[in-house]
Amino acid sequence: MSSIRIPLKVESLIGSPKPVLYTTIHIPQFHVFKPLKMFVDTGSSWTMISPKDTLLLQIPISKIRERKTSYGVGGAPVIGYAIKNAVFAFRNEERKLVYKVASLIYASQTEKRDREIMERVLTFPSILGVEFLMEHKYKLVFDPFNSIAYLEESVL
Amino acid sequence: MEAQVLLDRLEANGNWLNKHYKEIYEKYVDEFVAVKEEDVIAHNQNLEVLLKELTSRNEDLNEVLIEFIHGKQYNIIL
Repeated sequence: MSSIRIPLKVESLIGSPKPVLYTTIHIPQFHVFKPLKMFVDTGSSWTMISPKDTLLLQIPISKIRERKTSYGVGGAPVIGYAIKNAVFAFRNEERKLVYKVASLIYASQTEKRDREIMERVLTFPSILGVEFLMEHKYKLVFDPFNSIAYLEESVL
Repeated sequence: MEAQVLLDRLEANGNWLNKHYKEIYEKYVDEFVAVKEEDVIAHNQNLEVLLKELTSRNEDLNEVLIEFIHGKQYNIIL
C-alpha cells in the first residue's frame, strides 16, 4: 500500500496555527469557479463555506431550498445552504492537481440581523470538515510546533 | 482561468501575507485586507465597503486574497 500526500499550509488563524488547504472550488450548477482557502477542522462534521466566502464566491443562496441551522465557529447561529457535488482542485506533493468531489457541503449565512453578530460572522474562515476527510479516506497529520501539516490518502 | 493559475495566485498572495503577517497585524488588526501582487491594495473594517472599493477599481476578485486580521480578543474553542 502506498500513500499520496496533500501538503497543507500552517497559518496563524484566529490566534493560533491552523492547517489550511489552498484549493479551487467549482460548483457547476451555479457557474462558480473560484480560489478558496479552507481551514481543516476536525471539530466540524461538515464542510462549510463561510459567510464571507459565500459572498465572495457569489453563491446564489436564495435559489437553494435545502437548508439547516447550525452553530458555526464562535457559536454564532448560521444557516447552511446545501450544495451537492462541488468539485475541489488542490495540489499533491508533486504539485499535480488532484480533483475531489464533495457530495454535500454547505454555504453559510447568518440568520441574525444583529449588526454585531453579522460583522463577527463575516470574519470566520471556511472549513473543511470531517465528512470530507471520511468521503475521501484522508488522514490529517498536523504538527503545529514544527509547522507541518498534510492530508494523506492510502492507495492500494 | 484554469485551476493552476487560480491556485498560483492564491498561494502567492497567501505566502506573502504569512511572511508579512506581523507588520500587517500591527497596521490592520480587526480589519479586512485585500492582498494582491505582494501588497495590501485595500483595507476596511467593513467587508461590503471593501468589496465596493475593489469593484469600483475593476479589480478581479479571483486575483485578490481577502482576509480578516483577527485581534487577540478573538478566541475560538472548537
